[in-house]
Amino acid sequence: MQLDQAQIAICERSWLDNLDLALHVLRSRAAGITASALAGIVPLAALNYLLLSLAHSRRFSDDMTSGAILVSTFLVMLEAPLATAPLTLYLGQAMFVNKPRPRQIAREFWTCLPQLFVLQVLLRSLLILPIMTWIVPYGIWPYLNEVILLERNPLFSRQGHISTLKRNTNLHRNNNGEFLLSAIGAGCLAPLLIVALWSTQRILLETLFNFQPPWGGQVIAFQAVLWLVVVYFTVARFLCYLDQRIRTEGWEVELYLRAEGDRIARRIA
Amino acid sequence: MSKLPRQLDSRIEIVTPENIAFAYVLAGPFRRLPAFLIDFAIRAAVLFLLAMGCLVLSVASLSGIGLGVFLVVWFVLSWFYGGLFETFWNGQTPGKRLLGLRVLSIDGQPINALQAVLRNVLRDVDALPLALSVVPLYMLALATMTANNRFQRLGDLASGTIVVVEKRSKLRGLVMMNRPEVVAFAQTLPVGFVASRAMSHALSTYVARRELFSAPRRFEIARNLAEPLCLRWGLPIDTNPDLLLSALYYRTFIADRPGHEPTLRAPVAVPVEVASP
Repeated sequence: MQLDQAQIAICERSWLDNLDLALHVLRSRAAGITASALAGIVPLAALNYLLLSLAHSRRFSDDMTSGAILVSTFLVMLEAPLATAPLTLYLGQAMFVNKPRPRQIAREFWTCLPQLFVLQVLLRSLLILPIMTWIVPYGIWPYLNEVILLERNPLFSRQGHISTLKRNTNLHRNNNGEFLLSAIGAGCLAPLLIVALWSTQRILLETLFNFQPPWGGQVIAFQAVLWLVVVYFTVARFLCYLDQRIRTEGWEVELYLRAEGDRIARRIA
Repeated sequence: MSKLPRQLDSRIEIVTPENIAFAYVLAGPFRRLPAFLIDFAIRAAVLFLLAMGCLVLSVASLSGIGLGVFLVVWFVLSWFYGGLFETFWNGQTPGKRLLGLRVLSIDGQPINALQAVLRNVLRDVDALPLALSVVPLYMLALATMTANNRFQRLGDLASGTIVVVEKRSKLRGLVMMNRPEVVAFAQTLPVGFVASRAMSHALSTYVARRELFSAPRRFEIARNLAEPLCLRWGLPIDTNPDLLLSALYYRTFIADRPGHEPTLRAPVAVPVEVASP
Protein backbone atom coordinates (compact mmCIF):
# COMPACT_ATOMS: atom_id res chain seq x y z
CA MET A 1 0.00 0.00 0.00
CA GLN A 2 1.54 3.32 -1.07
CA LEU A 3 0.44 5.48 1.84
CA ASP A 4 2.38 8.49 0.63
CA GLN A 5 0.52 8.38 -2.69
CA ALA A 6 -2.92 8.44 -1.08
CA GLN A 7 -5.39 10.93 -2.54
CA ILE A 8 -6.56 11.84 0.95
CA ALA A 9 -3.92 13.03 3.40
CA ILE A 10 -3.06 10.41 6.02
CA CYS A 11 -3.50 11.89 9.49
CA GLU A 12 -5.69 11.42 12.53
CA ARG A 13 -8.93 13.36 12.44
CA SER A 14 -11.89 13.78 14.73
CA TRP A 15 -15.37 12.60 13.75
CA LEU A 16 -16.48 16.18 13.03
CA ASP A 17 -13.37 16.79 10.89
CA ASN A 18 -14.24 13.70 8.88
CA LEU A 19 -17.77 14.99 8.35
CA ASP A 20 -16.31 18.23 7.01
CA LEU A 21 -13.74 16.51 4.84
CA ALA A 22 -16.50 14.34 3.36
CA LEU A 23 -17.92 17.52 1.79
CA HIS A 24 -14.56 18.12 0.07
CA VAL A 25 -14.43 14.53 -1.13
CA LEU A 26 -18.00 14.75 -2.47
CA ARG A 27 -17.11 17.85 -4.44
CA SER A 28 -13.75 16.77 -5.79
CA ARG A 29 -14.93 13.28 -6.77
CA ALA A 30 -18.49 14.26 -7.72
CA ALA A 31 -18.66 12.38 -11.04
CA GLY A 32 -17.31 9.08 -9.76
CA ILE A 33 -19.29 9.20 -6.54
CA THR A 34 -22.52 9.99 -8.42
CA ALA A 35 -22.00 7.19 -10.93
CA SER A 36 -21.08 4.53 -8.37
CA ALA A 37 -23.83 5.65 -5.98
CA LEU A 38 -26.46 5.56 -8.74
CA ALA A 39 -25.33 2.07 -9.80
CA GLY A 40 -26.19 0.74 -6.35
CA ILE A 41 -29.13 2.95 -5.50
CA VAL A 42 -31.28 3.08 -8.66
CA PRO A 43 -32.43 -0.58 -8.62
CA LEU A 44 -33.35 -0.45 -4.94
CA ALA A 45 -34.98 2.99 -5.23
CA ALA A 46 -37.10 1.63 -8.11
CA LEU A 47 -38.10 -1.33 -5.93
CA ASN A 48 -39.05 1.06 -3.11
CA TYR A 49 -41.15 3.17 -5.47
CA LEU A 50 -42.95 0.06 -6.65
CA LEU A 51 -43.68 -1.07 -3.09
CA LEU A 52 -44.88 2.37 -2.05
CA SER A 53 -47.05 2.72 -5.15
CA LEU A 54 -48.73 -0.61 -4.39
CA ALA A 55 -49.41 0.49 -0.83
CA HIS A 56 -50.52 3.95 -1.99
CA SER A 57 -53.10 2.56 -4.39
CA ARG A 58 -54.78 0.95 -1.39
CA ARG A 59 -54.22 3.24 1.57
CA PHE A 60 -52.36 6.51 1.20
CA SER A 61 -53.84 9.89 0.34
CA ASP A 62 -52.50 12.21 -2.38
CA ASP A 63 -50.16 14.05 -0.07
CA MET A 64 -46.97 12.52 1.40
CA THR A 65 -48.26 10.90 4.55
CA SER A 66 -46.33 10.04 7.66
CA GLY A 67 -46.84 6.38 6.74
CA ALA A 68 -45.10 6.81 3.38
CA ILE A 69 -42.29 8.78 5.03
CA LEU A 70 -41.76 6.11 7.68
CA VAL A 71 -41.87 3.21 5.21
CA SER A 72 -39.44 5.01 2.86
CA THR A 73 -37.02 5.72 5.68
CA PHE A 74 -37.22 2.14 6.98
CA LEU A 75 -36.61 0.68 3.53
CA VAL A 76 -33.68 2.99 2.81
CA MET A 77 -32.03 2.18 6.15
CA LEU A 78 -32.37 -1.54 5.50
CA GLU A 79 -31.04 -1.27 1.97
CA ALA A 80 -28.26 1.24 2.63
CA PRO A 81 -25.38 -1.27 3.12
CA LEU A 82 -26.20 -3.09 -0.11
CA ALA A 83 -26.98 0.06 -2.11
CA THR A 84 -23.79 1.84 -1.12
CA ALA A 85 -21.50 -1.15 -1.77
CA PRO A 86 -20.39 0.09 -5.24
CA LEU A 87 -19.74 3.54 -3.77
CA THR A 88 -17.60 2.07 -0.97
CA LEU A 89 -15.62 0.05 -3.53
CA TYR A 90 -15.16 3.18 -5.63
CA LEU A 91 -13.91 5.16 -2.63
CA GLY A 92 -11.52 2.35 -1.74
CA GLN A 93 -9.97 2.55 -5.20
CA ALA A 94 -10.13 6.34 -5.42
CA MET A 95 -8.04 6.54 -2.27
CA PHE A 96 -4.97 5.32 -4.13
CA VAL A 97 -5.55 5.76 -7.87
CA ASN A 98 -6.70 8.72 -9.88
CA LYS A 99 -9.08 6.84 -12.16
CA PRO A 100 -10.78 3.85 -10.58
CA ARG A 101 -11.83 1.17 -13.09
CA PRO A 102 -15.59 0.49 -13.23
CA ARG A 103 -15.07 -3.07 -14.46
CA GLN A 104 -12.89 -3.91 -11.47
CA ILE A 105 -15.45 -2.35 -9.11
CA ALA A 106 -18.21 -4.48 -10.70
CA ARG A 107 -16.07 -7.61 -10.41
CA GLU A 108 -15.26 -6.94 -6.75
CA PHE A 109 -18.91 -6.21 -6.02
CA TRP A 110 -19.98 -9.61 -7.38
CA THR A 111 -17.22 -11.31 -5.42
CA CYS A 112 -18.37 -9.69 -2.16
CA LEU A 113 -22.11 -10.06 -2.81
CA PRO A 114 -22.51 -13.43 -0.98
CA GLN A 115 -20.86 -12.04 2.17
CA LEU A 116 -22.90 -8.86 1.95
CA PHE A 117 -26.03 -10.93 1.66
CA VAL A 118 -25.13 -13.20 4.58
CA LEU A 119 -23.82 -10.56 6.98
CA GLN A 120 -25.76 -7.44 6.05
CA VAL A 121 -29.08 -8.96 4.98
CA LEU A 122 -29.48 -12.35 6.70
CA LEU A 123 -27.66 -11.51 9.93
CA ARG A 124 -29.63 -8.32 10.31
CA SER A 125 -32.87 -10.10 9.61
CA LEU A 126 -32.00 -12.50 12.42
CA LEU A 127 -31.54 -9.57 14.77
CA ILE A 128 -35.19 -9.07 14.23
CA LEU A 129 -35.97 -6.60 17.00
CA PRO A 130 -35.74 -3.20 15.31
CA ILE A 131 -33.66 -1.65 18.08
CA MET A 132 -31.08 -4.44 17.81
CA THR A 133 -31.15 -4.24 14.05
CA TRP A 134 -30.15 -0.61 14.18
CA ILE A 135 -27.71 -0.70 17.08
CA VAL A 136 -25.54 -3.65 16.09
CA PRO A 137 -24.61 -2.78 12.53
CA TYR A 138 -24.69 1.00 12.80
CA GLY A 139 -23.57 1.58 16.36
CA ILE A 140 -21.19 -1.19 17.29
CA TRP A 141 -19.96 -2.39 13.89
CA PRO A 142 -20.03 0.78 11.81
CA TYR A 143 -17.33 -0.44 9.42
CA LEU A 144 -18.66 -3.91 8.64
CA ASN A 145 -19.37 -2.90 5.04
CA GLU A 146 -15.82 -1.58 4.60
CA VAL A 147 -14.35 -4.77 6.10
CA ILE A 148 -16.41 -6.97 3.76
CA LEU A 149 -15.78 -4.90 0.64
CA LEU A 150 -12.27 -3.52 1.04
CA GLU A 151 -10.42 -6.09 3.11
CA ARG A 152 -12.01 -9.15 1.49
CA ASN A 153 -11.44 -11.75 4.15
CA PRO A 154 -13.16 -15.13 3.70
CA LEU A 155 -16.53 -15.74 5.34
CA PHE A 156 -15.02 -18.61 7.37
CA SER A 157 -11.42 -18.55 8.58
CA ARG A 158 -8.92 -20.62 6.61
CA GLN A 159 -5.29 -21.33 7.24
CA GLY A 160 -3.49 -18.00 7.22
CA HIS A 161 -6.68 -15.95 6.70
CA ILE A 162 -8.96 -14.71 9.44
CA SER A 163 -12.68 -14.57 8.79
CA THR A 164 -14.56 -11.36 8.06
CA LEU A 165 -16.32 -11.42 11.42
CA LYS A 166 -13.04 -11.98 13.28
CA ARG A 167 -11.37 -9.13 11.41
CA ASN A 168 -14.44 -7.01 12.06
CA THR A 169 -14.23 -7.76 15.78
CA ASN A 170 -10.51 -6.90 15.83
CA LEU A 171 -11.11 -3.57 14.09
CA HIS A 172 -13.93 -2.56 16.39
CA ARG A 173 -12.39 -3.84 19.62
CA ASN A 174 -12.09 -1.40 22.56
CA ASN A 175 -13.84 1.46 20.76
CA ASN A 176 -17.49 0.60 21.21
CA GLY A 177 -18.25 3.67 23.32
CA GLU A 178 -16.74 5.97 20.72
CA PHE A 179 -18.61 4.24 17.89
CA LEU A 180 -21.88 4.44 19.77
CA LEU A 181 -21.38 8.17 20.35
CA SER A 182 -20.67 8.70 16.65
CA ALA A 183 -23.77 6.69 15.77
CA ILE A 184 -25.87 8.85 18.12
CA GLY A 185 -24.34 11.97 16.55
CA ALA A 186 -25.13 10.68 13.06
CA GLY A 187 -28.60 9.73 14.28
CA CYS A 188 -29.16 13.37 15.27
CA LEU A 189 -27.53 14.97 12.23
CA ALA A 190 -29.06 12.77 9.54
CA PRO A 191 -32.72 13.64 10.32
CA LEU A 192 -31.78 17.34 10.51
CA LEU A 193 -30.14 17.14 7.09
CA ILE A 194 -33.08 15.23 5.64
CA VAL A 195 -35.58 17.78 6.94
CA ALA A 196 -33.44 20.71 5.75
CA LEU A 197 -32.91 19.27 2.25
CA TRP A 198 -36.54 18.18 1.90
CA SER A 199 -37.83 21.60 3.01
CA THR A 200 -35.36 23.40 0.74
CA GLN A 201 -36.46 21.54 -2.39
CA ARG A 202 -40.12 22.19 -1.55
CA ILE A 203 -39.49 25.91 -0.92
CA LEU A 204 -37.52 26.23 -4.14
CA LEU A 205 -40.19 24.46 -6.21
CA GLU A 206 -43.00 26.49 -4.71
CA THR A 207 -41.37 29.92 -4.77
CA LEU A 208 -39.46 29.67 -8.07
CA PHE A 209 -41.87 27.59 -10.15
CA ASN A 210 -45.09 27.72 -8.13
CA PHE A 211 -45.16 23.95 -8.53
CA GLN A 212 -46.62 21.40 -6.12
CA PRO A 213 -45.48 17.92 -7.20
CA PRO A 214 -48.03 15.09 -7.29
CA TRP A 215 -47.78 12.09 -4.92
CA GLY A 216 -45.37 10.18 -7.15
CA GLY A 217 -43.10 13.21 -7.48
CA GLN A 218 -43.07 13.73 -3.74
CA VAL A 219 -42.12 10.10 -3.12
CA ILE A 220 -39.28 10.34 -5.65
CA ALA A 221 -38.07 13.65 -4.15
CA PHE A 222 -38.17 12.28 -0.60
CA GLN A 223 -36.31 9.13 -1.62
CA ALA A 224 -33.74 11.27 -3.45
CA VAL A 225 -33.17 13.31 -0.30
CA LEU A 226 -32.83 10.15 1.81
CA TRP A 227 -30.34 8.61 -0.60
CA LEU A 228 -28.37 11.85 -0.81
CA VAL A 229 -27.93 11.84 2.96
CA VAL A 230 -27.04 8.12 2.87
CA VAL A 231 -24.37 8.82 0.22
CA TYR A 232 -22.93 11.66 2.28
CA PHE A 233 -22.73 9.52 5.41
CA THR A 234 -21.21 6.66 3.41
CA VAL A 235 -18.37 8.96 2.34
CA ALA A 236 -18.00 10.25 5.90
CA ARG A 237 -18.01 6.67 7.24
CA PHE A 238 -15.31 5.69 4.77
CA LEU A 239 -13.15 8.54 6.07
CA CYS A 240 -13.84 7.44 9.66
CA TYR A 241 -12.85 3.89 8.68
CA LEU A 242 -9.55 5.23 7.31
CA ASP A 243 -9.10 7.17 10.52
CA GLN A 244 -9.72 4.04 12.57
CA ARG A 245 -7.05 2.17 10.60
CA ILE A 246 -4.66 5.10 10.90
CA ARG A 247 -5.06 4.93 14.68
CA THR A 248 -4.86 1.17 15.08
CA GLU A 249 -2.28 0.40 12.39
CA GLY A 250 -0.14 3.50 12.62
CA TRP A 251 -0.27 4.63 8.99
CA GLU A 252 0.78 8.12 9.99
CA VAL A 253 3.77 6.80 11.96
CA GLU A 254 4.74 4.64 9.00
CA LEU A 255 4.76 7.70 6.74
CA TYR A 256 7.07 9.61 9.12
CA LEU A 257 9.48 6.70 9.39
CA ARG A 258 9.43 6.00 5.67
CA ALA A 259 10.21 9.64 4.87
CA GLU A 260 13.19 9.54 7.23
CA GLY A 261 14.31 6.18 5.87
CA ASP A 262 14.19 7.51 2.29
CA ARG A 263 16.24 10.52 3.33
CA ILE A 264 18.95 8.30 4.81
CA ALA A 265 18.88 5.92 1.83
CA ARG A 266 19.36 8.86 -0.54
CA ARG A 267 22.30 10.05 1.52
CA ILE A 268 23.89 6.59 1.37
CA ALA A 269 23.37 6.43 -2.40
CA MET B 1 -1.33 33.90 1.29
CA SER B 2 -2.77 30.43 1.81
CA LYS B 3 -1.71 27.26 0.07
CA LEU B 4 -3.84 24.15 -0.27
CA PRO B 5 -2.20 20.73 -0.16
CA ARG B 6 -2.07 18.41 -3.19
CA GLN B 7 -3.94 15.72 -1.31
CA LEU B 8 -7.49 16.16 -0.10
CA ASP B 9 -7.22 17.50 3.39
CA SER B 10 -8.88 19.94 5.75
CA ARG B 11 -5.48 21.39 6.64
CA ILE B 12 -4.23 24.60 5.11
CA GLU B 13 -0.87 26.32 5.11
CA ILE B 14 -0.89 30.08 5.54
CA VAL B 15 2.21 32.11 4.74
CA THR B 16 1.99 35.48 6.49
CA PRO B 17 3.33 38.71 4.92
CA GLU B 18 6.36 38.24 7.20
CA ASN B 19 7.01 34.97 5.30
CA ILE B 20 6.21 32.76 8.25
CA ALA B 21 4.23 29.60 7.46
CA PHE B 22 1.52 28.32 9.77
CA ALA B 23 -0.46 25.11 9.27
CA TYR B 24 -4.08 25.20 10.38
CA VAL B 25 -6.95 22.78 10.35
CA LEU B 26 -9.94 24.45 8.71
CA ALA B 27 -13.23 24.28 10.57
CA GLY B 28 -16.06 23.22 8.31
CA PRO B 29 -19.80 23.39 8.95
CA PHE B 30 -19.92 20.38 11.27
CA ARG B 31 -16.89 21.44 13.30
CA ARG B 32 -18.51 24.86 13.75
CA LEU B 33 -21.95 23.53 14.62
CA PRO B 34 -21.32 22.87 18.37
CA ALA B 35 -19.82 26.37 18.78
CA PHE B 36 -22.84 27.85 17.02
CA LEU B 37 -25.17 25.92 19.32
CA ILE B 38 -23.31 27.13 22.43
CA ASP B 39 -23.56 30.76 21.26
CA PHE B 40 -27.20 30.24 20.44
CA ALA B 41 -27.82 28.82 23.93
CA ILE B 42 -26.04 31.81 25.55
CA ARG B 43 -28.16 34.29 23.59
CA ALA B 44 -31.33 32.37 24.39
CA ALA B 45 -30.43 32.26 28.10
CA VAL B 46 -29.74 36.02 28.20
CA LEU B 47 -33.04 36.78 26.46
CA PHE B 48 -34.89 34.39 28.79
CA LEU B 49 -33.46 36.08 31.90
CA LEU B 50 -34.28 39.47 30.46
CA ALA B 51 -37.83 38.38 29.73
CA MET B 52 -38.14 37.29 33.36
CA GLY B 53 -36.85 40.72 34.42
CA CYS B 54 -39.44 42.38 32.19
CA LEU B 55 -42.18 40.34 33.84
CA VAL B 56 -41.01 41.58 37.24
CA LEU B 57 -40.99 45.18 35.97
CA SER B 58 -44.48 44.81 34.56
CA VAL B 59 -45.70 43.83 38.03
CA ALA B 60 -44.22 47.15 39.27
CA SER B 61 -46.12 49.01 36.47
CA LEU B 62 -42.88 49.60 34.55
CA SER B 63 -43.66 47.32 31.63
CA GLY B 64 -42.84 50.04 29.07
CA ILE B 65 -39.26 50.38 30.28
CA GLY B 66 -38.88 46.61 30.51
CA LEU B 67 -40.12 46.07 26.97
CA GLY B 68 -37.81 48.81 25.68
CA VAL B 69 -34.75 47.30 27.34
CA PHE B 70 -35.72 43.84 26.11
CA LEU B 71 -36.07 45.05 22.51
CA VAL B 72 -32.74 46.89 22.58
CA VAL B 73 -30.91 43.88 24.02
CA TRP B 74 -32.66 41.54 21.59
CA PHE B 75 -31.58 43.78 18.68
CA VAL B 76 -27.97 43.98 19.86
CA LEU B 77 -27.73 40.25 20.52
CA SER B 78 -29.30 39.36 17.20
CA TRP B 79 -27.11 41.57 15.05
CA PHE B 80 -23.93 42.27 16.98
CA TYR B 81 -23.31 39.36 19.40
CA GLY B 82 -20.86 37.65 17.04
CA GLY B 83 -19.43 40.88 15.64
CA LEU B 84 -18.65 42.40 19.05
CA PHE B 85 -17.17 39.25 20.55
CA GLU B 86 -15.05 38.52 17.49
CA THR B 87 -13.78 42.11 17.47
CA PHE B 88 -12.79 42.24 21.14
CA TRP B 89 -11.87 38.56 21.63
CA ASN B 90 -9.61 38.35 18.59
CA GLY B 91 -11.86 36.32 16.32
CA GLN B 92 -13.61 34.27 18.98
CA THR B 93 -17.07 34.10 20.49
CA PRO B 94 -17.66 32.19 23.77
CA GLY B 95 -18.66 29.10 21.77
CA LYS B 96 -15.60 29.31 19.54
CA ARG B 97 -13.31 29.87 22.52
CA LEU B 98 -14.71 26.84 24.31
CA LEU B 99 -14.16 24.65 21.28
CA GLY B 100 -10.82 26.09 20.18
CA LEU B 101 -11.95 27.82 16.98
CA ARG B 102 -10.81 31.21 15.73
CA VAL B 103 -11.70 33.48 12.81
CA LEU B 104 -8.72 34.71 10.80
CA SER B 105 -8.27 36.77 7.65
CA ILE B 106 -7.35 34.56 4.69
CA ASP B 107 -3.78 35.88 4.90
CA GLY B 108 -3.51 34.62 8.48
CA GLN B 109 -3.83 38.06 10.13
CA PRO B 110 -6.29 38.72 12.98
CA ILE B 111 -9.63 40.04 11.77
CA ASN B 112 -10.68 43.67 12.23
CA ALA B 113 -14.01 45.07 13.43
CA LEU B 114 -15.39 45.54 9.91
CA GLN B 115 -14.71 41.93 8.98
CA ALA B 116 -16.16 40.66 12.25
CA VAL B 117 -19.37 42.64 11.90
CA LEU B 118 -19.77 41.97 8.17
CA ARG B 119 -19.42 38.17 8.46
CA ASN B 120 -21.93 38.09 11.29
CA VAL B 121 -24.46 40.41 9.67
CA LEU B 122 -24.38 38.24 6.54
CA ARG B 123 -25.21 35.18 8.65
CA ASP B 124 -28.86 35.94 7.95
CA VAL B 125 -28.24 35.46 4.24
CA ASP B 126 -26.38 32.21 4.93
CA ALA B 127 -29.36 31.04 6.96
CA LEU B 128 -31.61 30.92 3.89
CA PRO B 129 -33.97 29.38 3.03
CA LEU B 130 -36.41 29.77 5.90
CA ALA B 131 -38.85 26.96 6.56
CA LEU B 132 -42.33 28.20 7.51
CA SER B 133 -40.85 31.70 7.00
CA VAL B 134 -39.04 31.62 10.36
CA VAL B 135 -36.88 28.49 10.79
CA PRO B 136 -33.42 28.97 9.24
CA LEU B 137 -32.23 25.93 7.28
CA TYR B 138 -28.66 27.19 6.52
CA MET B 139 -28.64 25.35 3.21
CA LEU B 140 -27.09 28.31 1.39
CA ALA B 141 -24.21 28.26 3.88
CA LEU B 142 -23.78 24.49 3.52
CA ALA B 143 -23.79 24.73 -0.28
CA THR B 144 -21.27 27.60 -0.28
CA MET B 145 -18.97 25.86 2.17
CA THR B 146 -19.06 22.69 0.10
CA ALA B 147 -18.32 24.61 -3.07
CA ASN B 148 -15.05 26.19 -1.93
CA ASN B 149 -11.82 24.76 -0.58
CA ARG B 150 -11.69 26.79 2.64
CA PHE B 151 -15.16 26.03 4.02
CA GLN B 152 -16.11 29.70 3.70
CA ARG B 153 -19.77 30.64 3.95
CA LEU B 154 -21.06 33.76 2.19
CA GLY B 155 -20.20 35.94 5.20
CA ASP B 156 -16.63 34.62 5.14
CA LEU B 157 -16.29 35.15 1.40
CA ALA B 158 -17.54 38.73 1.68
CA SER B 159 -15.25 39.61 4.58
CA GLY B 160 -12.23 37.56 3.47
CA THR B 161 -12.10 35.33 6.55
CA ILE B 162 -11.67 31.67 7.40
CA VAL B 163 -12.39 29.74 10.58
CA VAL B 164 -9.56 27.55 11.85
CA VAL B 165 -9.03 25.10 14.66
CA GLU B 166 -6.43 26.41 17.05
CA LYS B 167 -3.73 23.84 17.55
CA ARG B 168 -3.48 22.98 21.19
CA SER B 169 -0.12 21.35 21.52
CA LYS B 170 -0.23 18.32 23.73
CA LEU B 171 2.85 18.34 25.95
CA ARG B 172 3.71 14.70 26.11
CA GLY B 173 6.27 13.52 28.60
CA LEU B 174 9.09 11.20 27.67
CA VAL B 175 8.13 7.60 27.24
CA MET B 176 9.76 5.39 29.86
CA MET B 177 12.30 3.42 27.87
CA ASN B 178 14.63 1.72 30.31
CA ARG B 179 14.39 -1.92 29.26
CA PRO B 180 17.88 -3.42 29.78
CA GLU B 181 18.15 -4.64 26.18
CA VAL B 182 17.30 -1.16 24.89
CA VAL B 183 19.85 0.51 27.17
CA ALA B 184 22.48 -2.06 26.19
CA PHE B 185 21.78 -1.78 22.49
CA ALA B 186 21.90 2.02 22.70
CA GLN B 187 25.61 1.72 23.60
CA THR B 188 26.35 0.00 20.28
CA LEU B 189 25.11 2.95 18.23
CA PRO B 190 27.69 5.36 16.78
CA VAL B 191 28.83 7.82 19.43
CA GLY B 192 28.76 10.96 17.29
CA PHE B 193 25.28 10.43 15.90
CA VAL B 194 22.84 13.27 16.51
CA ALA B 195 19.26 12.79 15.31
CA SER B 196 17.89 15.56 13.11
CA ARG B 197 14.73 17.36 14.16
CA ALA B 198 12.64 15.39 11.68
CA MET B 199 14.10 12.10 12.86
CA SER B 200 13.54 13.03 16.51
CA HIS B 201 9.91 13.74 15.68
CA ALA B 202 9.57 10.44 13.82
CA LEU B 203 11.18 8.53 16.69
CA SER B 204 9.07 10.15 19.39
CA THR B 205 5.87 9.52 17.39
CA TYR B 206 6.83 5.89 16.89
CA VAL B 207 7.74 5.22 20.51
CA ALA B 208 4.65 7.01 21.82
CA ARG B 209 2.40 4.81 19.68
CA ARG B 210 4.28 1.50 19.39
CA GLU B 211 2.46 -0.12 22.31
CA LEU B 212 -0.79 0.21 20.39
CA PHE B 213 0.42 -1.94 17.48
CA SER B 214 0.74 -5.69 17.26
CA ALA B 215 4.29 -7.09 17.21
CA PRO B 216 4.30 -7.93 13.46
CA ARG B 217 2.89 -4.49 12.65
CA ARG B 218 5.53 -2.84 14.87
CA PHE B 219 8.19 -4.74 12.97
CA GLU B 220 6.70 -3.70 9.62
CA ILE B 221 6.54 -0.02 10.52
CA ALA B 222 9.96 0.21 12.21
CA ARG B 223 11.69 -1.53 9.30
CA ASN B 224 11.15 1.55 7.10
CA LEU B 225 13.72 3.51 9.09
CA ALA B 226 15.70 0.68 10.66
CA GLU B 227 16.88 -0.90 7.40
CA PRO B 228 18.58 2.24 6.00
CA LEU B 229 20.11 2.87 9.43
CA CYS B 230 21.53 -0.68 9.56
CA LEU B 231 23.03 -0.15 6.11
CA ARG B 232 24.51 3.17 7.12
CA TRP B 233 26.01 1.96 10.38
CA GLY B 234 26.99 -1.51 9.19
CA LEU B 235 24.73 -3.28 11.68
CA PRO B 236 23.56 -6.85 10.96
CA ILE B 237 20.62 -6.77 8.58
CA ASP B 238 18.60 -9.02 10.92
CA THR B 239 18.76 -6.46 13.74
CA ASN B 240 15.39 -6.13 15.41
CA PRO B 241 14.00 -2.88 13.93
CA ASP B 242 11.78 -2.13 16.91
CA LEU B 243 14.72 -2.49 19.26
CA LEU B 244 16.91 -0.30 17.06
CA LEU B 245 14.38 2.54 17.01
CA SER B 246 13.72 2.19 20.74
CA ALA B 247 17.46 2.37 21.40
CA LEU B 248 17.78 5.39 19.13
CA TYR B 249 14.94 7.05 21.02
CA TYR B 250 16.71 6.26 24.30
CA ARG B 251 19.92 7.77 23.00
CA THR B 252 18.23 10.88 21.60
CA PHE B 253 15.83 11.73 24.38
CA ILE B 254 17.12 10.08 27.54
CA ALA B 255 20.80 9.08 27.53
CA ASP B 256 22.16 12.19 25.83
CA ARG B 257 20.36 14.57 28.16
CA PRO B 258 22.70 16.57 30.38
CA GLY B 259 23.12 15.04 33.83
CA HIS B 260 22.20 11.56 32.71
CA GLU B 261 24.83 8.88 33.11
CA PRO B 262 23.68 5.61 31.60
CA THR B 263 24.99 2.31 32.82
CA LEU B 264 27.33 0.93 30.17
CA ARG B 265 27.02 -2.66 29.18
CA ALA B 266 28.68 -4.84 26.58
CA PRO B 267 27.36 -4.09 23.09
CA VAL B 268 25.06 -6.70 21.63
CA ALA B 269 23.17 -6.83 18.39
CA VAL B 270 19.86 -8.49 19.03
CA PRO B 271 18.49 -10.47 16.09
CA VAL B 272 14.94 -10.25 14.92
CA GLU B 273 12.54 -12.12 17.16
CA VAL B 274 9.33 -11.29 15.40
CA ALA B 275 8.25 -13.14 12.30
CA SER B 276 7.95 -11.05 9.18
CA PRO B 277 4.27 -10.32 8.47
